[in-house]
Amino acid sequence: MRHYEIVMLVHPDQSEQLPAMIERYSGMVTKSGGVVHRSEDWGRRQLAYSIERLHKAHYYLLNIECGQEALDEMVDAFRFNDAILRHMVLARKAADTAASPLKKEEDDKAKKVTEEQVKAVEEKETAAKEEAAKVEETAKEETTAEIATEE
Amino acid sequence: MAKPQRRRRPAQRIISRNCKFTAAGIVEVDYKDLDMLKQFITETGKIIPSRITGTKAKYQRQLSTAVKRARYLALVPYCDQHGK
Repeated sequence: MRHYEIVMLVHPDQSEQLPAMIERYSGMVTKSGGVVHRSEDWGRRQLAYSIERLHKAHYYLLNIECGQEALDEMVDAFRFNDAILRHMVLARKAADTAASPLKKEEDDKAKKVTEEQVKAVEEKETAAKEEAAKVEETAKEETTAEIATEE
Repeated sequence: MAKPQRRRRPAQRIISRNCKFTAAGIVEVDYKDLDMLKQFITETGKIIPSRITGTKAKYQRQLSTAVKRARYLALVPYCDQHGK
């Protein structure tokens, strides 16, 4: 049993199938008595240069501990999977479990987006409240005006 | 006969004598740390030599493999001529 690190680039149009693919591959590892130590989704990233005329790809990182046979099976599966544009397998000395810098980056981005969304929602709410207040005011004014005309 | 005075060329890049990896106590240079890698490559995508950056030989070797791995995964460009 050895430690491996695998990075794969998945076609962005097929990224919905990614969870199923990951499940299948980690199933291969666990079935042979291996362990998945780290499983990270880096999301859709801009490529530094185009691969197969694509400018974006979905990145996925796997840190596993398995034997040679399971790894061979996995690499074979990568080759025959058209959705995988590219993959890289590295041998590692020990299990990596800490979040990688790229994952942190992705998380920060996601956080920012959610924060912005929250902010936007809050702004909308305050704007709506202000508008409601204005409408009330104008309504009051109208009623007072109506009373005035009646008199 | 007096020696002609050598005129010093102005330094084009700031030459650092300190190794960033030694200073930070890094065990292994990671190809996934793009912010760090980008400090050691030029705008054209070349790896900056250690005589400019002051990186220790041990880390320069690790750095070069890290950059090459990142290039293969299209995290970092090979050059600035891609897609032209």
